[in-house]
Amino acid sequence: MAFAFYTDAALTTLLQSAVVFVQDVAAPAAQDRVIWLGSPDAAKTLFDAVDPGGADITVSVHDAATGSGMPASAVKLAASAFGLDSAVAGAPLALGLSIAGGTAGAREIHIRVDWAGSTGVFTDVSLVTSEVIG
Amino acid sequence: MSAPTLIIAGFELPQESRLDLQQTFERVDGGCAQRRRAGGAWFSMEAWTRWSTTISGGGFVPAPLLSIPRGVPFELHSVAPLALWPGEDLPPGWSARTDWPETSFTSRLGVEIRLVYPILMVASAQGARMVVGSSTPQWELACEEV
Amino acid sequence: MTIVLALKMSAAAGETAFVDEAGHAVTTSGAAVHVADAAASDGIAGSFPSAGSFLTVGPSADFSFPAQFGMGGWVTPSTVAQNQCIFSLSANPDGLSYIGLYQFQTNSRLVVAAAYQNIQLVTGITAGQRIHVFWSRDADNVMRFFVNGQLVRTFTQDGTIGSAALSLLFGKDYSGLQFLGRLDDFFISKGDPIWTANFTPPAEIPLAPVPYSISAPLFVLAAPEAATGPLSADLALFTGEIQQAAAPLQVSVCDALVFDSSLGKIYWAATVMVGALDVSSQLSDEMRIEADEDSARLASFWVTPANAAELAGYDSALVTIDITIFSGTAAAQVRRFTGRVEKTVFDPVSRKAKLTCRDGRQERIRACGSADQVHALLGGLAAPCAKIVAWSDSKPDPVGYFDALLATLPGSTFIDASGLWRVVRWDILAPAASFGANDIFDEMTVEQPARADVPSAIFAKLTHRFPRLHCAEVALNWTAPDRSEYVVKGIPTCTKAMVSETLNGASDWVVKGEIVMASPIPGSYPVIVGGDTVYYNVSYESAAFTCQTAAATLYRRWYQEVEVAYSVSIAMGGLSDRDESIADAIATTFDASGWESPASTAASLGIYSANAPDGSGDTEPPTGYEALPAPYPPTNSAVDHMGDVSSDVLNAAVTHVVAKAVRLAAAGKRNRRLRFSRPADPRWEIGTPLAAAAYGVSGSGQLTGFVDTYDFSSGACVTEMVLACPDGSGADISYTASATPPDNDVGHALLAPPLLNHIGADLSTPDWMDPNQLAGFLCNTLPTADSYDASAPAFETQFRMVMPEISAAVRDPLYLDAAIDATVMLPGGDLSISFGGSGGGIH
Repeated sequence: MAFAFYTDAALTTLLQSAVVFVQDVAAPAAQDRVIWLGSPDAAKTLFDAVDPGGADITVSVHDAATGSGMPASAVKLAASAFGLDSAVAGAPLALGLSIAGGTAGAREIHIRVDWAGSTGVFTDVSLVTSEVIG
Repeated sequence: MSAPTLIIAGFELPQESRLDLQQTFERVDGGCAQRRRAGGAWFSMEAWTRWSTTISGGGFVPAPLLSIPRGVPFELHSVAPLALWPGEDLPPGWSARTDWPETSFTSRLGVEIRLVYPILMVASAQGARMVVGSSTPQWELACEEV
Repeated sequence: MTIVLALKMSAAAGETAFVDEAGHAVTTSGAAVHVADAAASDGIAGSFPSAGSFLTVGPSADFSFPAQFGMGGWVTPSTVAQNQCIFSLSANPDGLSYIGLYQFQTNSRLVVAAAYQNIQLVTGITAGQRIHVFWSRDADNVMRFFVNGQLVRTFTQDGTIGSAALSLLFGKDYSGLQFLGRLDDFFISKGDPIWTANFTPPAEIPLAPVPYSISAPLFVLAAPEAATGPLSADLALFTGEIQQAAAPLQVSVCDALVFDSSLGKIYWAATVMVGALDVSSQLSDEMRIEADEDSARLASFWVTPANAAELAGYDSALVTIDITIFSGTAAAQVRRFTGRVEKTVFDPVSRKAKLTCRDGRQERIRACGSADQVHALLGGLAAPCAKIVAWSDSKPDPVGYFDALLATLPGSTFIDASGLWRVVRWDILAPAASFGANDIFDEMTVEQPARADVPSAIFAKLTHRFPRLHCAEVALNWTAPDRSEYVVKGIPTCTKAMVSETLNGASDWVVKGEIVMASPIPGSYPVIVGGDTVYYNVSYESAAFTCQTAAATLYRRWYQEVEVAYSVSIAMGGLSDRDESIADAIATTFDASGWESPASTAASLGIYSANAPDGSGDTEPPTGYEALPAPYPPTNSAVDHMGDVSSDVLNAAVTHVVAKAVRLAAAGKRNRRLRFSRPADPRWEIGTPLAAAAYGVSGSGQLTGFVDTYDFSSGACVTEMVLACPDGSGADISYTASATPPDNDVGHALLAPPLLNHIGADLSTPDWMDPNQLAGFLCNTLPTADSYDASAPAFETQFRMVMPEISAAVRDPLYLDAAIDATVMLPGGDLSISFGGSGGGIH
């Protein structure tokens, strides 16, 4: 299977639908989720496609509808649960110069959403990795 | 003032079929359940609301009325108006007749009431029922909103 | 092979007309022009300086390639600050034929996009750099891409590339992606890939006008231009495709008022997607979603398919279920299920199909191909111990392994509404929500744990079996009788052979090193017998065989099976005395018989007595044990051989059994449950701390499961929740465990048998002696011997030795008890029931 986001640490199941968060419009509270990024192919090592070995592989918060819907700043990313507290809202998460394949190499992507806005279902924000090659 | 035309599945019933015309609106059973809470209070859960309407009349019973296909949706241009508050919408899926536009009046208590002649998309499970034996033939059509 | 395009771009500088030497008409657009280019072999190249500068060639059937081809030329980008297209053979930049230079972020790279693949070739291209690009397909449909003659990418792509209906563009593509820079010596061959391996890029196209066919070699190859050189030093070559992953997020911002039951009425709707199809309007009867700890989340619903194809499309389709609830002006939409259709049952009479869906929990477990994957699924919270629960690569059993480790998890696993695998600790934190009598329907159940769930205590025991290796030595010394005994009593001498045979023949005992035996000194020795001097003669011949003194150390080693039972008990406070124990066992891997066997004769030869070849060059004093397999217990002591059960392994095993006990204890206590229903409330996931109070019952705990029913016929939408409200203290579930093997203070002090001289038929000989004390050199007449002559009785000799016994205490299996050093914290919720007063339901 490919380099992708997975729904479990064993990289058995691709993330195929949205990661869902629920927020209370009147009393928003941070809600955390974790997904995993990697490749089950243990023989593979992934690098940034633009500058392999010279640039970090990153996960960015992409807002497909800037100015409307949910802002990218509603999302924090971190490599650990503890890191979420100090993460900068909307900032990309650097995962290092390479990601080794296999379960051991998989990276946890901790996601925190803390935003109320207005009631509704918002799907304009997604996480996107930098392009990788391996 | 003449009465609104009664159009059932595109067929306009002639006046001689509309003796003693009656139309009722009722909610269809289901779609809404109630339970009591631990504190005794009532709680309602509603997934959907649909209406049934029954029209009956007497006199000449035209053949198209009896040949309304069962279980197939058709449009019913209602002759009975629906009373709405100012600003209140028709139930979802209903529309107002344009040939008999909405009217309003203010009651003696000063309450403004709107009368809307609706168009419903309905189906009849049994079709029209005809009763012969009294002074004139009677017919009845029970429909439910689809 | 046919050259179907040859753009040498060698006209005079300033010339805007370009010539295809293959004969196709070329139309110049914009500012495309020939310019001087020192790097070009002929000093001229085509320039595309600005937007709108490009060449159009064709359309022509020549530019449709059903089979082999080769195409390429020299490229000098003047900028890498934007996406650029060198040339294009089709209208779709993402498909068919396309070669482009792309710029992303701060580094440029060369990309070939072909047949809907977008593949990076190289990185690090800079503005003004002259590179040669070449792309070919061979008879096996293998595509190869070369940069400066170096193969950088291979993939397979069949089908027709290019188009007979479209013109070939140089300098831009059909989407308007403009190339800025210079191109030179571009050509295309049809029917021959030209190059399928590394080559030296040609300085120019050495071709006559075409169409015509030539045979290889196609080019007169020139050396690469020194000014530009190949890129190889800066190229990073990869064989994989560029990949980019995306994770969509969905944020449902709810108004919690919809879950506040005070308005007394809610409206609801379900949005059910089966694959890409929204079947929400086709639902009927009842929809049910149920979830429980460590179980698959299930959903079932009835749907009326529009047609047979739609029904067939349900098979294994991805299913998402979102619940929308309205109350007053507030609304909330919450996802409740993500999974796949597991089973479809179609009722042809009602035309309805019942779809049963699962979240794929078992599939994920089964998909694990290594122990690491299973550990990852358990979130690192399980307590693996390979000595107790081993993963087999040859016969992997991921489900069995997962289940075995799940038994050590202080929490639960489940797949949430988004389809994410979750591991939740059984911590009981402050309630995220509290439901009162006005939030709960008129039913509530309080379940107390069964007696078996809460015994008086739960015991955890780990048994470790290992060998205790003993070693004991005794020193033996013997001295021959006085010479007078030989003369007066006429006894024979004791031979070295007899001594050696006896010492080496001791059962279970081994001579350590060598027996030290001394011969009598040859000579004639005066012995006074009855006042007369008699001479006792020792000849040189007999002295060599005669033993005067003997000294040796005999050692024995043996193993004793020791079983240490490490245990701890977790008080549960229950009244049941039934034994709820967790017991596991580990054993040190040990070849006991190999260790106990005496050294072979060959191995015990005395090389070590001179100089142990330990490699250091130093002379090591021999131990006497060298020929025996390790380990070597200390002299007259014992060592507990843990072997492959190191301290870490022991602690892992102890942690494993304690973790199982903790989970068993916690699970038992968590069977104190509060079950209630309320209007549909899909906000809460398993593991969420919640509280409820009604009918005089007040409880707080952790959500362990729920059942949602959405009845489309009646309109009822109900969530039944189950809270675990364990009796415990604190908020967190935690434990620590370690163990230390008991000390071994074994010491051996075996008494060496005194080796004396016993001469029978002598007045000094006692009438009776303890046979076990009769050791050393024995001389006696033996009337039963064939050689016995009563008139001249002769002495028979024997060298006898009786070695000490090994006591049962250090020989038989030993069973020891030891405590596990453990701390256990089991979290507690609240559950109280009051009668009368305000608590009762009816007054």
